[in-house]
Amino acid sequence: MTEKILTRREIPALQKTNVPVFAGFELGATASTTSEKHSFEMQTFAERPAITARAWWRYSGADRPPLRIGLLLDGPELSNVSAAAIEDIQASNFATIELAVYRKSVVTPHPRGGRFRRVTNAH
Amino acid sequence: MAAGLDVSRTLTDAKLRSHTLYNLYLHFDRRLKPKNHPLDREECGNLLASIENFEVEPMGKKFVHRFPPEAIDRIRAKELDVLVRFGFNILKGDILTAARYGVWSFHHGDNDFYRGGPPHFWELWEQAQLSGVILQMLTEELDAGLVLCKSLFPTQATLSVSVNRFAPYWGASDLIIRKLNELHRCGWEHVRQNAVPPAPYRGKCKIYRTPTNAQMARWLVPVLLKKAVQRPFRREIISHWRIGIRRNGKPLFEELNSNLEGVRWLESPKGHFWADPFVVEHDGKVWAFFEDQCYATRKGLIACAEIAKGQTLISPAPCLQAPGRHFSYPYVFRDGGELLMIPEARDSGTIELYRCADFPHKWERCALLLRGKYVDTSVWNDAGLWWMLTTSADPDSRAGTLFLFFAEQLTGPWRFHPANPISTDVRNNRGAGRVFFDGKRWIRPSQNSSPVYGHSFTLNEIGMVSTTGYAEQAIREFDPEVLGGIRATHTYNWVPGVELIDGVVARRGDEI
Repeated sequence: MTEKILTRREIPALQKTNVPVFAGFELGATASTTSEKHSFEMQTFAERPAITARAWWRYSGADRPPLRIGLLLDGPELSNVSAAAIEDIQASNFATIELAVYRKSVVTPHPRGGRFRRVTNAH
Repeated sequence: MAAGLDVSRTLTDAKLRSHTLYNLYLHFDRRLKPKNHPLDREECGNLLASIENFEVEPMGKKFVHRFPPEAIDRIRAKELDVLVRFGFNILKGDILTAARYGVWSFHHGDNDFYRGGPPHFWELWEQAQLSGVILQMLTEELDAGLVLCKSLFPTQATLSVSVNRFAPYWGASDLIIRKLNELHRCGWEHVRQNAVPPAPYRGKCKIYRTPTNAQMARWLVPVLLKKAVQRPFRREIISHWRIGIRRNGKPLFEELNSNLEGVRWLESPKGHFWADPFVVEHDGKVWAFFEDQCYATRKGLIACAEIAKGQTLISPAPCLQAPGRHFSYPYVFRDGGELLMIPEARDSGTIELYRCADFPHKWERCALLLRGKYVDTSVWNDAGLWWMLTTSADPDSRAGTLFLFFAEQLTGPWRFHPANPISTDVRNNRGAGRVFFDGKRWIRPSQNSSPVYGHSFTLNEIGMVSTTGYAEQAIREFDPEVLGGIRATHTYNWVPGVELIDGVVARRGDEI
């Protein structure tokens, strides 16, 4: 089933009628009522916001093949927000990460110098 | 400037030397960086371990990267729907079309005003009120791709770019999963139609770049000089919230050009402030319910009082409090003959419903409506359904998104509305009072927290709400300046004959 959501342009034309209810997950949904792969139990990643609000986006009720996602990365060290976004995709029931493309690291000389060098190269 | 360059190069390379002040600034800015910063880096080898991968040495000079043909072929062979960019530089060439729906990438900045970088720095420099984030499908032109969605956050009153980045980076961290979810549920055509319409670029610079020493000096020297001069005479100024009562005026929503003349401002007891006033009629009398916060403990409780004819409160007293907990925004409403309240209690990580067991001072928790950190929750009943608008506050309310839920019963189960998010714009993403029906239309008061928290409120007419759509339109933006001496106002509630608002005045620390 593909759900129809109105676009901004369509909304004004819609009459105030009760249309079929969105097949989203409900409050209190547990692992037993969702897919085994993705439990919606509340969980908190260390040093990151709880996923309570963002978890709403991890579920799709549409009957379509999962999206195939690729990542373009500089390496396995990521910012907190990038890691959170990747965790969202991995925890979703509708998308799979099929490929990670890393930028080939450029060897840089070992930094030398004292405090002044570190300051002048702070970025 | 990459780490690892030696000092001699910094001193001999004119281009690097021209950014020395900015690099010094970043060095000191790190000390101001909030905990749990979105740009703190972590090793994610485990997270990525099971994903097929390969390395690419991009072609190109300086900031533009192109992918070699063999890498493009390898990527195309995976038949990807979307490539998400978390690394590399500016991308051009065939990589932009290697996935069915292109390369998606954040741009931290409102692309109508800020193209280039550093992210959220120039908003501080130019004192812009908003710091935006977009998720775009990249094109050959820098920061001018198809904007899939945009979020707007308040620019912080700070010199620290790390502080200014905190809310926008966290607040926009769900944009990718949100748009992927929409793509899966509704298809690409829907995503494309819902994209942000292109607007003419209005930035002061064509492309913003790393600030030069002259630009840094022009920004910092006056500010630091002013701070130094003012320091010996500095007094602690507090933004002090008060409640205002107006009786027998024509309600604001009926007289849209009104400036709420005749508001009487009430003083809270010393050491406290009052805010978030709600009003309810009970047994022929009018009662106010509001947040009473103690400055010392920084914890709020819900207090209530009868509103006297002379626009004063009769014997205010607490009606909902708990040790160590903070309550505010007492959304009081009726369901049939029952009086109910949904107070804001984000520290509990829940939205809870309270029932009035003995008016007005005894309230009992009767239902858990939703788990999660949310603020300023509003509910109303229309067309046989309950509707709930609430703002996520994770990690804090500056990063909020307005969500809509609906349910057949007030106690739930509450369903996530498919038109979510209702707002990711700090100018209307928080409630500012009860959603009400004025006899012709439903009206939602909303807060505008730009340029400062709770700066003003807006009355919005809800044009339609159904289980598939939601639309509203602003009908009156109410600026605090018209109230005389008030710096901000973020709540509006009414019953026939009585309107309540709140407002901020500047007070010295010893005055409160």
